[in-house]
Amino acid sequence: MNAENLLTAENPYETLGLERGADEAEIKQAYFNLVREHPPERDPEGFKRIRAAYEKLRAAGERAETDLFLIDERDVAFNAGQLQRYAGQPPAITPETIKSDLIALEAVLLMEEVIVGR
Amino acid sequence: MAKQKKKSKTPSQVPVHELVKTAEEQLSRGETDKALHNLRRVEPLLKPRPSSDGKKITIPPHIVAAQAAFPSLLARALFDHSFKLVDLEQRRGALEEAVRLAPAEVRSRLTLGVCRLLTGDTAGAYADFQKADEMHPNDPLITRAFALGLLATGRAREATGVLGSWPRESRDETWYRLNALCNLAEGNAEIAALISGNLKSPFAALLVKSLSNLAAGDTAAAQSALDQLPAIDHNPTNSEAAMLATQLYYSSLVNLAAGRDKQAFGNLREAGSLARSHSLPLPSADKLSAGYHAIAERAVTTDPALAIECWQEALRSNPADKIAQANLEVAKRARAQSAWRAGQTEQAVALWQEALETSPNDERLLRNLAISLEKLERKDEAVTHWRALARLWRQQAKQRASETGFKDRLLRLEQHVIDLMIATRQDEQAIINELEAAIKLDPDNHELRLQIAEQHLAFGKPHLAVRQLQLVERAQGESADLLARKALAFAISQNRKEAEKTFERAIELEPDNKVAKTTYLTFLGDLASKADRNEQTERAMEYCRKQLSIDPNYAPALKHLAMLDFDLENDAEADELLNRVIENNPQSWQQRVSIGGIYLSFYKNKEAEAHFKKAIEIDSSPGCIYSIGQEYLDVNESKRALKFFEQAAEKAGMDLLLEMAVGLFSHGLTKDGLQFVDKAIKAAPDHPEPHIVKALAHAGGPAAFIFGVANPKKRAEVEKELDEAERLASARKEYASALPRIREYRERLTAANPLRSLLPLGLSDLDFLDEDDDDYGPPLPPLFSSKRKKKRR
Repeated sequence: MNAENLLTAENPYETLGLERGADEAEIKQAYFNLVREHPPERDPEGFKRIRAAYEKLRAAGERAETDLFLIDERDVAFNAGQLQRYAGQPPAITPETIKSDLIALEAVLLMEEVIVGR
Repeated sequence: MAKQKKKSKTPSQVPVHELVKTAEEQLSRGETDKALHNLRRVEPLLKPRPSSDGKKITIPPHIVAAQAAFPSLLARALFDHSFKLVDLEQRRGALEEAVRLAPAEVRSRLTLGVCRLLTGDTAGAYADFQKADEMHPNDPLITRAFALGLLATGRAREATGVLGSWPRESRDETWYRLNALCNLAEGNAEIAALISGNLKSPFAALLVKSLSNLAAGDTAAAQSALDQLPAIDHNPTNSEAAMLATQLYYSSLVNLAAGRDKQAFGNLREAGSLARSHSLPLPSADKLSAGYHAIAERAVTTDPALAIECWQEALRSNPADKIAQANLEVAKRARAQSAWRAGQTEQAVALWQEALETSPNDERLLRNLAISLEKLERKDEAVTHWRALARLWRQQAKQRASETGFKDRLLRLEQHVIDLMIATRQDEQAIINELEAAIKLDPDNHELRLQIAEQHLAFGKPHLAVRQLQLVERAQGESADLLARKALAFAISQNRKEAEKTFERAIELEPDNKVAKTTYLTFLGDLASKADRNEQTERAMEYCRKQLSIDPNYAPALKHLAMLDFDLENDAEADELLNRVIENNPQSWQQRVSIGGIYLSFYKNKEAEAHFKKAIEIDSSPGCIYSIGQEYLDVNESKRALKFFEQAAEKAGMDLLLEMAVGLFSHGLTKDGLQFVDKAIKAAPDHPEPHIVKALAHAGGPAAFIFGVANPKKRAEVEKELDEAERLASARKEYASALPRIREYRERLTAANPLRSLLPLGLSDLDFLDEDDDDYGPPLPPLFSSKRKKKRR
């Protein structure tokens, strides 16, 4: 499979219900479980999808190619743990803050009058 | 003589009293900075100094006068200058110095008190206001400041008392505002709300009402007042802007508390923008930042775009906000994630690119970008990121050696990078460098080494190719495939003997090896042609025979040998050879046409016509009929050629019609060619290609790119056709690839040297200009193929 096909192909890990870091045994197990649920004679389309997904992961070379060109949630997810919390007090509405803000406002207005009158 | 540069006088050269006078004049003209500068210059000179022997110095009277005037002048300059300082601490410093220099100047003291209050020093502010009040007990502005000082230091009752002593007739807008404030401070928010009814300014009225309601806990009434913006028909004054900014700030807090993050952000941004544009210290930067951070932290998972805007604004109000900077990066990734989820790949790419600027070695970003850019067909950009990822992984190769699949992924990546670099026509050396970097990582990867050899061959460095091939040979042993490649490298490096020897060895090792056989046959064919061109007929025949010893039915060798026999008038032998071609390919119309062409070039028209007739019996398609016409054209029988072309044109599609047109152009039959272009336009009216061909025909062929349009009168037609081609190419996605070519033609035609009109040459005389000749710039895209005319033998 070439890169161009991989860019548009479906995610084989999702198809097989696996994590990206699944090992060989897990891949095999997931494949066999799914094939049991979707045997080719009963669900040929489903089997085809499962088989195609398995083909992309079964051998090291194919899996390397799949992993190289696959973007999934894990790759685009942002790390919320990297967010830093703001150290300052979150803004609050209290009679005290209202009073002090109005005093500050009066001070600014006073200064403006001094400036205008200078 | 060089003019002597006029030196400006140093402070010691300019009399001190003059500088002081100048500063005074500058102050009265409002040139505060200049005045301050001059005063700072004279400051050290005016300080009383003892002489070196400790005796008192007698100071001249004009200096004494300057010394006396200096402190108040500097205080005035500092006072004026303080209003230019946005930073409150700096402003406060300037005012402290002004007050120290001129303690009786009440305005400086008053302003210093305000600054202290705004920077949190309420006790200092109160002391300043009290001092000012002592100096001017009946000044309404100072009384107001004093009351404010009392309020700021928690003495609301005393402040109320001061307000009560205010004469009734002079109780103005400010009195009512302070009164409301006193009531708020004493816990009488309802009374404060009632007082707001006495305020005439809509800014003050709405603000006091809404904040009083908020303090009273009546959020609904507060919200209603906050949502009403004062109707004004002028740009707000600084005082109005200060009140409006405070109202917007509280609007934002109410919205934030109610979970209306977007509205909260909008209000906060407007408050900040008003404060900035009016240089007001309200609401304080800390409060704005706290608001932006609070909204952003909540929105980052649900609405990352909003979080980005919040942190961007936080950075605008405080560029040193490191938390906003770091969180902005995380939020951009969150935004990219939702864009990616929604299928907005371009947007995700733009955000990842921004994030990459701060984290250039982020593996996930590099890979996401490379894959997404490739998906968007922006392959050149994708290459850059793939290469960066390859570089990164190579550096990590040792540390990550035990990671499952890492090496496989890296090798696959290397291969992909190289493929993509070749596909996007990257710099040759860059491709080789990439290949060599990859081979260092995996020296036993013979496939990669063969690829390096191929690249060296493609880039005209056969000796380097040979070196790589020998390395593979050493590791894997001799094989026909390898020998064939090596022989080809020798052939390209003009080492005919070594090439022949190596080909021979390849064939000997594996007589049926397809690669070895094909390349050797081609190589021998080239040698035969070269000998033929040099009129070494015997040698040419030898090479043909050699070809036939490898493949007795090799049609090119049979035909070439037949032509050589015709040259030597061995017609019977020639006929026999050509018959062998037919026997081997009885149903091939192509061979019939080709053999007919050979007969035609030796004036054997009857035989030629028989083969052409047979060809049409096998296949009467326009392609076959056109090929026959082309054979006639090649021997300059243009009338017959045109007859076949016209017959073919009845059923031909656009491509074939253009091929016929180009064939006619290259034989100087422009008028006839244009007829076929018009037929092509009729056959494919939406296609840009016929218009491109027509434009170039009008321009006078490829030479027009060098010498300009052959016939200047045709210039308008050239442009018209290129315009039409561009219009059609822009109209449909599948033709868009023609656009760069059309633009290139247009640019080249514009830039071409119009000297051509001065040359006494016809177009056909310009054939000596080889399109691929480096002296004439980069090679042009093939347009009118300069097929060598067949010589009648």
